[in-house]
Amino acid sequence: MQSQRELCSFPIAPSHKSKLTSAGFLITEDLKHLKPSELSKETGIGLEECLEILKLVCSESVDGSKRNEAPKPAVSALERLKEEQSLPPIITFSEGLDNMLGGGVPLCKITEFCGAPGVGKTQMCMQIAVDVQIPSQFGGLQGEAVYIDTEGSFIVERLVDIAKATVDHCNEMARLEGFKEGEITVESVLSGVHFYRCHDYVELLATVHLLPEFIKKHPKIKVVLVDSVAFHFRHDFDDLSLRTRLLTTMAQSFIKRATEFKIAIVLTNQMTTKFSPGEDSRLVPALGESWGHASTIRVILYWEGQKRWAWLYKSPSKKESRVPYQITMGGVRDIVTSPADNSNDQSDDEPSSKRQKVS
Amino acid sequence: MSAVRPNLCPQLSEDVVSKLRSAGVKTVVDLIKTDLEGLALETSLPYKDLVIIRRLLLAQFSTFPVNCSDFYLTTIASSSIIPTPAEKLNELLDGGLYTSEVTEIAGEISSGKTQFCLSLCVSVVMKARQNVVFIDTCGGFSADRLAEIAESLYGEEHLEHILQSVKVIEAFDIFHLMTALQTIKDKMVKKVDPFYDTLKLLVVDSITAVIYPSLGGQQMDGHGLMVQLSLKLRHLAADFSLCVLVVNNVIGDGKVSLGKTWSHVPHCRLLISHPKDQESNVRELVLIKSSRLATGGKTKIGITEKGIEDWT
Repeated sequence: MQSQRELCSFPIAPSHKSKLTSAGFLITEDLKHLKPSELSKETGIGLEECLEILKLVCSESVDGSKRNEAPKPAVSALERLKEEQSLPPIITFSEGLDNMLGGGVPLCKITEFCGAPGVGKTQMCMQIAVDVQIPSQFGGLQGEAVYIDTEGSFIVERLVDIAKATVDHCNEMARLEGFKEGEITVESVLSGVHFYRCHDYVELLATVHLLPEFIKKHPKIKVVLVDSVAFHFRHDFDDLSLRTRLLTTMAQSFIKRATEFKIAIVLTNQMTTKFSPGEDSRLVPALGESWGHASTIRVILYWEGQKRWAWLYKSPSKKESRVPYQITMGGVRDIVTSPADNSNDQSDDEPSSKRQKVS
Repeated sequence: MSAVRPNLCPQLSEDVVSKLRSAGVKTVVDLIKTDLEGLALETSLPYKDLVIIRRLLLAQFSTFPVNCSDFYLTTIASSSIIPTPAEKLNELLDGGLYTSEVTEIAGEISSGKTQFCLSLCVSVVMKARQNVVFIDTCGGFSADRLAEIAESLYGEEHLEHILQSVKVIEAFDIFHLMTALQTIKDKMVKKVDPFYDTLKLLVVDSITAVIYPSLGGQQMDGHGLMVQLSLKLRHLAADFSLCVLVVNNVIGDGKVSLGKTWSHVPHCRLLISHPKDQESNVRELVLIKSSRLATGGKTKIGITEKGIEDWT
């Protein structure tokens, strides 16, 4: 009974599909009793390809899980809940943001940060790349990060600043709770970030394609950051339908890796202006609406007056909310509530290179 | 339709099949079309055998007409209506979501499509006492949120039962989705897994995520795969009296994705949107396509920790 599946619903090359159809093979049952050599003779497809086709079509019924790319079997929602609860999120050091996201940046999901230039997307990425390495005794994931930079805005010295602040914070906590200090150092943080620089969209797609191999070799990887995913897709793209296809394929590839390796995917996106007749023009995330459906969680970062705000726009489990945050020497932090404290330790002093950015 | 292969009927031995193939008769359709006398001469097979083979194959592969009143009685006996948690929406839909139909809910980003699906899952388990299969293609399923809805509506004592009555399948590309649908069909036919005996709702969230990568450009397959997928969904709905709920996107100015071809697939289409100048958790539902009801009706719902409910 399992055999009544049409051959065209399998991932076989279109030219082979047409040869199979003209030779009269339409459903899986038709191929069951054939040997590769017989199939090759009947259809004119090469012997190796016939072997592949038969393996694909016939091993389905035997044990789907033996194949590499086979879909996972159905699990009950109860098991899914237990899985979700056993995977801690990546904390961002800003309590407001973490609460808004439900604990932090979650694993097995794609989180997208959109914002105008200068609002802190790259800072957020660097903060997450450091936070994922926090040792498990402090509630961290003790993992590694893959940082894919497409814009060239990654500056190692800045990562060192953020790493130093995090390491100091961890050592402070260790001292207070009696743990061993020195579990995490600036050197270990830097060596735990795997950096890729992509110069065009082809390099980006290739890097994403090769991610599974890389992650298998480095099983400690817990987050893949792409800063930014919009950059190469906004320039020199005449064919918009190609862009949609590439972006949606990349999104599906990301969500596959996220669930397969239980990692978090963090993407940043730029903003663009939308003109509507009869309304004021407004800033919306770039790459179009079809891309908007691709990310699981979308956070829009924006300015209001002098403050930076994070707006949770899309989430499967938390409701829409906004929290203010700030960028300090040590990275992303909460805004200290009382204005009098502002001058003391949590200084709103951004490094001068950032202040020069046009917002 | 299928190829002519050995053991389809007793007269079709390997030898007979290979003779037929060399005469150019490869599929069952070919055998039914050809002139049997000419074929008997060409393959030197007895004419009587060919007539018997043709008659048996016709009986095996044909469909037979059903009397409309019998069909009506069977439909009444096997169909049911799944009420949604919002009463006004049920009025709009003449009771709720119907089985043996494909219903589509389309909306922009963050309009509440997945919340609608999760709410409906809880509704099916507790009100209709049936099981649900949720196919997740974009990573938007949150078991945490499902548990929150279940617990706020029915309390902790029913939580485990609700969660065990919903099965989740991950299918991130179109071929995995086809395999998943085939597996569901096989399990329902074989009746070895009691979960699938009481399956009533199949949710696919979202269908656009798996179809977009194959559409357009130089790919010849894309459109065909989309239509194949639509056939599978409709067959599942019709053959097993399931309610199939599909999530689609809205892009641009309220245009539903996937174009005209896909617009013929669902029997019933709901558009969910966030009306301007309303509170952040209010949504508006419009019935834009139905094979049974007048379209254009609207209703407002609110999204809370209990899932979706009427908005007053």
